[in-house]
Amino acid sequence: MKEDEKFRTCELRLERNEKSLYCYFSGDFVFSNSKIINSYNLKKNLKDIDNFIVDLSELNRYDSFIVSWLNVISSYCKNQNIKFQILNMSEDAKNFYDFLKFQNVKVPKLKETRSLIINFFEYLGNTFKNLVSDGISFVNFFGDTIISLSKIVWSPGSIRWEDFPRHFISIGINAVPISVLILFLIGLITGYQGALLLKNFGADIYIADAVGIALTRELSPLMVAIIVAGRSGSAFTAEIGSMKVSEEIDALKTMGFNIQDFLVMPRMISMIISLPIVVMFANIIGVLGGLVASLGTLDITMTGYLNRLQVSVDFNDILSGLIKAVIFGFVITLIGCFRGMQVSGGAESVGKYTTSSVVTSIFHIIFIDAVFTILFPILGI
Amino acid sequence: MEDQIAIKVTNLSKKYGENVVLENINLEIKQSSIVCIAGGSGSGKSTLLRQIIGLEEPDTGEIFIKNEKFYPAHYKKREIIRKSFGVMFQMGGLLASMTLRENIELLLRTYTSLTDLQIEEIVRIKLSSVGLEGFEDFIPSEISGGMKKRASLARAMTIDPEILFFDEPSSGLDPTTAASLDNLIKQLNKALKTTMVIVTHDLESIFEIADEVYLLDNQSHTIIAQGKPDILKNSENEIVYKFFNRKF
Repeated sequence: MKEDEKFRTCELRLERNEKSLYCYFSGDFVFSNSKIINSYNLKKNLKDIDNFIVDLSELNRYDSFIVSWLNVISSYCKNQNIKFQILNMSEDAKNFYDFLKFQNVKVPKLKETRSLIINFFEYLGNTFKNLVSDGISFVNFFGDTIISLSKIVWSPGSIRWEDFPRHFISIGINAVPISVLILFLIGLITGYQGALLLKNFGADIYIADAVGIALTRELSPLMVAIIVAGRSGSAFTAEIGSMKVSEEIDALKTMGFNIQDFLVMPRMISMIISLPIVVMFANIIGVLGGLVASLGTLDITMTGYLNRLQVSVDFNDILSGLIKAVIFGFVITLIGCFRGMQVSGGAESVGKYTTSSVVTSIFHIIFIDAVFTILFPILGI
Repeated sequence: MEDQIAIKVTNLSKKYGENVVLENINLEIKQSSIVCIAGGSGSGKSTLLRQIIGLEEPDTGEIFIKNEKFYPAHYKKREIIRKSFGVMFQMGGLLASMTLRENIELLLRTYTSLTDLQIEEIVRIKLSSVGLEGFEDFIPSEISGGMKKRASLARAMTIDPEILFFDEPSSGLDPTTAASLDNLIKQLNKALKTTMVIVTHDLESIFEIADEVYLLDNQSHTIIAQGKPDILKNSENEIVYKFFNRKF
């Protein structure tokens, strides 16, 4: 016996007798032998045959594979008008085969197969329907948030202030290191690129204007908002979504708690207070990044840079960045919590809405930033 | 063959930190039998199951599967032995992003050399044996809790494992669905001669299907009774008697 045949535990022997093909099987008809059994090209041998007979007198072990093999072959024989027969099947194997064959009841498919065009229009219709219902839910959620926010003014005790420090640390303090690091690099890049341009015109000192205004008005609030949307907005969705999956939200509702006051407001207040603070840190570090780039590439001094910064960046520049930060904070929390409330089903849904929360937040942040860029000069800010 | 030992556990103990969950567990499960591991909430039933199927490692003790040492053993050996297991998890454990067909096909495409037609046939056979034929293209979130459990069972028995483990199969099911699942477990055991290990505290299921029961106590964290359910129902041990007669 060859070494590779030592562990061969099954064999198929085919014998042709005029218009009949006999298949003698010996050994184990199990999943682990499927490669050996399927290597016999039966279909090739089933040409010009009237009868196909499978003899299982030497069958040893078996599992569901034998049922699938026999069913596939018998279907093929039926299609080819070949009479199919099983011989010498043991009582145990027959019981096993009958048990699984007994289940051979076709149930009408619940999912209809449709043409691609109908599927496409169905998809379009469903997408539009979902967008409309999404929009209506969002407007409702927005309205509830505004009501809860205004309630805080005349009844500050209506929200859970116990949660405020936890959220403030998580949203604000924990976001400072990564925000300032990124803004330092942004300041460095802006400073370096600006320096290359301004050097050509001998306007070295105006690098402070470029870096200062770009950072305070645009880059700091925008970048910090994007970072916080990725860190905290997604966390809001995941936290609230998980609570929804584990029926915590339902429990709160049945205990008479207002979800907006209990879950959304502590996050909202923490966010709109902490985001401007992080932006202030980011402004300072970003300007320092610009300074490092300027000192390395231009003929200016640190005092000159800082003096020019004092002249060029006024209160309105900083204020416009901080106003944006407050609005961005509001939008991130609104979208993060709204997406969390949309979660239904299981863990997969939490992941889906968390991703959606980040993408939607970033889109809205950039859209609102564009609106403010046009609006602020008109308002004189 | 009927009296061969499928699973043997000796002196198994497990604790999380200072919290002792299992203490000196010894059990022997015969091949082709239906055995229930019962006990109150927090008695360590599911923890014991996780040790036996190799999802967690016990602190002390040994586990043998068909006379082969499963624990302690090299992880490669454990992986090979584990292929003879099928597990139906309490929450189903179906892969949420895949259809029921893909959940079942995954094993067949990984571990066998079946043709596409044969795979399709196995998927149909397995799903129809749990009454789910026609639901091949549904994803788990589109079917009910009871259907998820049955689909999980279909996946667990895809490549006809020698031992099937069930973690609380009837929890969260209505009485009719729970009874049909019990019936299915009995039929499978009879037809496929599979050893069934069921973790449950559902007394109706225990009396209906179990050949033998091991009762875990949540005070001593060990097995306090073993035997046929009808005999344990008349046990002189107070805890055992109360458990099997729903007394407090």
